[in-house]
Amino acid sequence: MTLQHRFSTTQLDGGTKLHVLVDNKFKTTAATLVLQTTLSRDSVTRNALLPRVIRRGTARIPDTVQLERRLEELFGASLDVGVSKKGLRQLLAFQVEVAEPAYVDSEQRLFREGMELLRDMVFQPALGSGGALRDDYVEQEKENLRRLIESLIDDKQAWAMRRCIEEMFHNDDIALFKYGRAEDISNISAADMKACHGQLVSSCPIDVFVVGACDEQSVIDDVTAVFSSVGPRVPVPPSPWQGCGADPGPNRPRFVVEAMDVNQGNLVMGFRTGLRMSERNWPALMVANGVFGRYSHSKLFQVVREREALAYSVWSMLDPTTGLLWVTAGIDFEAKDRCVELVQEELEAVKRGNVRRVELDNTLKGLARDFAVMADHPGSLIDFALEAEVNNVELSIDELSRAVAAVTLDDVAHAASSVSLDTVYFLTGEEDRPDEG
Amino acid sequence: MRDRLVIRSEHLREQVVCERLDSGLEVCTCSKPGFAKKYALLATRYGSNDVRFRVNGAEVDTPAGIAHFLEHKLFEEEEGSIDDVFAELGAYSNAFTNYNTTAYLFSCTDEFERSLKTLVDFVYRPHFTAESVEREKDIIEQEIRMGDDQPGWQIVSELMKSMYHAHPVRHDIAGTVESVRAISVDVLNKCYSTFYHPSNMTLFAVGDIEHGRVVDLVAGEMERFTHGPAPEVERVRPFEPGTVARARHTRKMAVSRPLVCMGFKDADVGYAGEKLSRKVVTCEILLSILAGRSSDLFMSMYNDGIIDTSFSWDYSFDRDYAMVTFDGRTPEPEAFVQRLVDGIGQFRRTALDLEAFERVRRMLAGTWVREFNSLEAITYQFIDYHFLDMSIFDRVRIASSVTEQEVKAMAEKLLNEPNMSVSVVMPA
Repeated sequence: MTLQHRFSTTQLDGGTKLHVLVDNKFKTTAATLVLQTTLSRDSVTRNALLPRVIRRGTARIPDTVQLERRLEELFGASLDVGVSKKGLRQLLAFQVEVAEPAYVDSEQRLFREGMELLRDMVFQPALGSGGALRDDYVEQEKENLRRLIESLIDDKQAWAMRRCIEEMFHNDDIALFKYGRAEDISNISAADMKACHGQLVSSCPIDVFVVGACDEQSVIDDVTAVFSSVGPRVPVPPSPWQGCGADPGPNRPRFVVEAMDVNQGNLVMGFRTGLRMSERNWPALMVANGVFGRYSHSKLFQVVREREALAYSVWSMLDPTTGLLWVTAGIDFEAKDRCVELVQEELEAVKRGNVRRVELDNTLKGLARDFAVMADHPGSLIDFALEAEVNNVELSIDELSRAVAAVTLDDVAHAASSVSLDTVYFLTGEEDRPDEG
Repeated sequence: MRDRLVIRSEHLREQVVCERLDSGLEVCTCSKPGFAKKYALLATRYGSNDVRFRVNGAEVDTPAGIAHFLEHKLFEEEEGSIDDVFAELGAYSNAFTNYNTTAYLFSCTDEFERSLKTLVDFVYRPHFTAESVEREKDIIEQEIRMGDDQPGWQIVSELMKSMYHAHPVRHDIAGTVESVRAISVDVLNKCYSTFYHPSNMTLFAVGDIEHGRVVDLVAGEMERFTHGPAPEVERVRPFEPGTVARARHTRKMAVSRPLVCMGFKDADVGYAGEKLSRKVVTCEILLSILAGRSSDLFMSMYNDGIIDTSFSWDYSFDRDYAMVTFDGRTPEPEAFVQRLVDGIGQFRRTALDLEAFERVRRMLAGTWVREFNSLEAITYQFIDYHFLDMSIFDRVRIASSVTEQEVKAMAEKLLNEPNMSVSVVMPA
């Protein structure tokens, strides 16, 4: 099955790329503006703070309550901001979504009005004294960002994952949390944020993705008109991503155990592959990961859960930009060693090509389905387009899907042979606390 | 020719077609041309609340968590798991249990028809063995322990125990490690024969599909099974007072900051259909005006750092219980509760802000449109509403006829301090 859904791209004056995908099965139109910058220790926290601050108000509608009321008047338009990272890139996303007017019995130009709000939020945020961003918003959002960063520990599996990547890369920027570092927050001023804003909007590449029940030409016209008031920009693309490397280095794998007041142990195993989306072996590695742990028919689920009843949740996942492969499992404290042993055994089986025909076939079918359903989820299409761009590769979902479909068992074993264990992290209970020192 | 019931929304240009088969099974479809995914769900009106019941006159008392356990075990086949069959068809399969419903589902892009037959086939062909039942207890124990470490889940679980004296909604859906240990093959069979009669169930399919074809396939598959007459089932519910069981509960967990979930028990229950729809819509309007993002109450608490964007509210409801909850992360649980209580008092004392009333109705109309972008959202919303004889298409019409008096009356009746209970998780 082929995906008819493709973005059609227009270069706007001032260096912004507009990608439009018309699909009338949707009942809304969403515009997502993505700003890409380099992930670095010096700027990660300020960059993560910026979307939260400018979401509070625009120069035209500086008061947050008034902005919220405006959104309600636009039939519950949503205006969302977010931060993510891909390899050594930090991505800031700003999204407006409006209902197609016919479905709410309106003749208003909801998309045009939503686009204007999006533009104002990103390019003309509310300003306070001395032309800085509003001090009250900066201070409140600093506190909220601090709480957000610190609340990671409330989700034990996400916490274990974060700790594992920190243990793998220590002070390397690749290990930075997408929301930044709590210790950086207190020194940030409103003037710093104004400088951060100016620098990001003038020098970062900007992509605008529009998906929905819209008319392509009228979207291009609306966006062009709305962005015409934005001055010329000189985008400087971040340096291309060079990959994580396949070699875990000496003294690996490392084993790290930490204790907390928890009822269940959380195991995270971090593997390097040295491969990523741009490489020829990538499709084979995706299949290898599928056979290994992506699905409920995969080896990990079948062995760790169904055969040994050690876990309710046990999965593997693969990051297309870093090429890191993760295994996570929620298990009893005393099941750690057994579980690590089983995971390694199953990985060895994939490396040896010890994969039944049905395991390979089911994985190929599962991946084909996963690619096909992306057409129903605009967020996945946008994410894929960005992933390809960060990896500097011209690759469509169709092409990747076809490459995956052609993967053979030999390819799987060969790709799996590049997977090597770097770090095992285990979050255990207080009663199981490891000996100090 | 069987009767077809068409539920339609002219303004959304959507419709659901429902039809009851000879076996008693109801088949409903929503055709969504252009979507790649096809999605089907087979649900029974049986959830964690249905632990005590009378079937054909005899009373049965079952262990907490049995509906969820049954859901896990239905996947078991004589040879392996039904997941294997779905995987070979390239379909993704899953299931869930909540307080009132157990549902089995798959999604796929190809092989919809064979997947649909597989869904019907495995749900109506139970196979429980003592050995596999024992093994499943270990897996479910891990599922329960996972929940034990999730503060967002724990705080709701404790609130339920606070709000209800006796109603089974006070028990966790998965039960406890102990209650699950007490489950046997016999009791699973008893629950299956009581609650999985086709007349107690609905199959819903959505995607680029055709109603008649789905009905023919399901009807054909159902012919392979013989079901006797539907058992006479009565759910036994203990008497539940209108008051809350405890006003407050606090526990410690490994969290960064306190979490609060504050609930108001709705004692005015016993409704379904249009009457319940009207309550739900009225309540959504009320809560949006009172504590939505555009409200002065939300903004003043946000500006003072009492709440952040983790703050949310909800009205959850069924035939015999309902409640409003406000929850979020806060550095000051006392201030969180007090400011909301004061804000509610102020809201009740003053006239309704008519501008906000109109604005919120516009906002909700747009929000309801957005649900129809997602096949999953349509499915969950449909099953929840349908099992309560409510229509997912009626909300806009109802919202436009709700009066300011109804909104005020609901605030008076529902948001009362004697009905209030607070659940707090404090950092250890």
